[in-house]
Amino acid sequence: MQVHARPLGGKTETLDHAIEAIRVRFGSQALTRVAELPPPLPWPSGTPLDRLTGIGGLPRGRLTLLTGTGTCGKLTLALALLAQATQEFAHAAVIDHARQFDPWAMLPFDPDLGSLTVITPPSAEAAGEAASALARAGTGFILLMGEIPEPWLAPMEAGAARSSAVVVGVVDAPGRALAHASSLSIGFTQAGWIYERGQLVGVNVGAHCSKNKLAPPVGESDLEIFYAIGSIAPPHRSGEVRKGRQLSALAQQLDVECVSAAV
Amino acid sequence: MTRLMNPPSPVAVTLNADGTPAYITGAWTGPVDPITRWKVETEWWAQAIVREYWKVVLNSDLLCELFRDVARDEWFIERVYD
Amino acid sequence: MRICCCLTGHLELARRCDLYGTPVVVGDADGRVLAASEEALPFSVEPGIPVRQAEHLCPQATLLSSDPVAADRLRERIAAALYDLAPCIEVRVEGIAWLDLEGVPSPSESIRGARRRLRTAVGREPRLGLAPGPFSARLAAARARPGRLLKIDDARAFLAPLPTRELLLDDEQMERLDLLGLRTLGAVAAIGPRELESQLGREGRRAVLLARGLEPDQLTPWQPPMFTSAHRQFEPPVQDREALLFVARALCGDLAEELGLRGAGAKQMRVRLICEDGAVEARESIVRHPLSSAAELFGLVGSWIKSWEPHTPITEMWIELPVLEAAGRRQLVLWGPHAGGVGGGGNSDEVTAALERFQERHGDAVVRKPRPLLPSSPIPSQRFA
Repeated sequence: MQVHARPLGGKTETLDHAIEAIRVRFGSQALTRVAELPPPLPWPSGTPLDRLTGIGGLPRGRLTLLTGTGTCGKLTLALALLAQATQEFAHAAVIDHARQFDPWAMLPFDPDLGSLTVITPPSAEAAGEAASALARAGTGFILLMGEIPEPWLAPMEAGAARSSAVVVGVVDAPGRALAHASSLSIGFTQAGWIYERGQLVGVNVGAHCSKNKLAPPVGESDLEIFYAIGSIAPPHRSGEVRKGRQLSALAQQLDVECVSAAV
Repeated sequence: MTRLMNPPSPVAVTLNADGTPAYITGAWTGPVDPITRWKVETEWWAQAIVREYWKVVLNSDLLCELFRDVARDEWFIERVYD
Repeated sequence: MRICCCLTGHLELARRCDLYGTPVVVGDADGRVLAASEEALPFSVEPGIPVRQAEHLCPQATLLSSDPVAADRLRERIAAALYDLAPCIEVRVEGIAWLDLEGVPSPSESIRGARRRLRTAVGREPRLGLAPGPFSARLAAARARPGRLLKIDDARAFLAPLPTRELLLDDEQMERLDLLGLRTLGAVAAIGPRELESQLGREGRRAVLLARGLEPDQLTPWQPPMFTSAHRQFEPPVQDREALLFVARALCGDLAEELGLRGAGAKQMRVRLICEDGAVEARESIVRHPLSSAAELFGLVGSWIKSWEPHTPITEMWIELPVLEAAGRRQLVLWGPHAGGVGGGGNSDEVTAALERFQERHGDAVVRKPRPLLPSSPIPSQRFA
């Protein structure tokens, strides 16, 4: 429970008295002023997202949203985060209500499948229940592939805050409740397809922070996402990260680092 | 990277004169630009699976894979790139 | 028989770790000194003398009232903490803990573990003694430095020069021993048991056996209770669900700590809400896997409370665990912050338990560990399970 106190003369004293009474009755941890909250610890993910957050990584104990429509790379980045998390945490979970998660797509990022658990809840409510329970239990990283119902957002947030779990949600366009619950929201927009020798090999993507409760905004990043052409084997350029081209004059003005993730 | 539709989502496909997919309706709707194609034939020893795969761009912004089940002549979207 | 004795000081003193290093006197209900810290002893303050006299002898001492319930609870918690280190343990509120290390594969590990857990429990290093029996082990521990172990192989030789007051006889019996010229344990050991029994009664026979290192006394093994509960009263009564959940979470934390110390889990759980009008709302469940962590306990309790509709304010909440069983040892930090707060290092058992509970509600198929089946298959759905 967070409390914001505004200086309104006698009302502030009344509020302070109420806060003190609640703390005496239920313990000092029943209420915490926002100013007393410690800043969230960052989790350095090793992806270009670390530069966009302003704190050098994704926030622990908070919800981060990756949004955008069409082929924009948000799921690619999310799977890269998930693969990294499987290497660093004892437990990483995917809550896949829509049954669209493909472990094969993670292989280019060299995940540790032993740490990964996939939950396919039968309903959105069950997805919320799973997210809340896993956050509370201390799962290191939770990937939400879709929205969860509003009543489950607060328990999930509280559980994540208590356990310092990293929670990442991937949605096309978040609902109002989910958007409000997030501490960090990164929007991805498709900037054009990448062709090589007449073949479509990837997509240019712009990533920008549309919401950041952790730090001042630090600009935008351009990404190049490469997809395998053909069907079967993981691409030979799996896991490649390279500097990309300057895409435009505007990009030259921004502190832009073009990186590529071959997927 | 990609979402895998499991089971694949059925769609109705309108073909160009040359037999390439031009427009789809169903779970996803819109014009498609074919990128590449390949064919899969497997499990011939049991119940053969023969599929004609297409990688297409839907509505100019969504890269996805769809396939035609040759035996049943039905189209499905199987994978969406993101 | 090999017995390790750990001395921590009276547990009444351990309730106030902030007073360590200062003279402290604890008085009982009869106005007599129950316990005194080492810093008060040089002022001739000792257990048994009137508190008023102690105040006069050591005016700078902090006077505390005894709290037998709290001291006994601390004793139980210490016993639970030491329970898995030896087949038989005994803990007394006077701050004496014995471990019977007979048959223990690694006695030194048990001794190290006891030292560590006692240090965490009472906030200071215990004195440790290792000897063939409880009496000689206690005397050895009393002569060890804090945090150190004094090991005795020949109990009789060790006991011989020690004064007879170590036998803890009453004043009249001590006077008789003095009249008999028996001022050391060696002298008592030289007397025949029947001879001293004729002077002091059965205590005399026992004294001779103790002085010879023959240890007639056995440990009284501590057994953990197989039932535990926690409760909270609300004044004024509470009807707000969030408040009930908050208190329930705290109670589950207390219970989990106790279960963890015992290595026990709850097979049955009961929650009772006492309403203002005297009505009792209760819910009970038997679980498949023993619950032992705070998250597991609160997962069940919380879901019940969320589904309840209290019609009148609640005056009391009870969380009872009527059936306990061994749940395997878990690594818990005694009286410290929960390790799970670091993030990502959440207790694997808790995550596994959360997944199992989810499967119990929605079916086993909802949780899977992806494993490759045919990774090179051209059919995507065949590649992974």
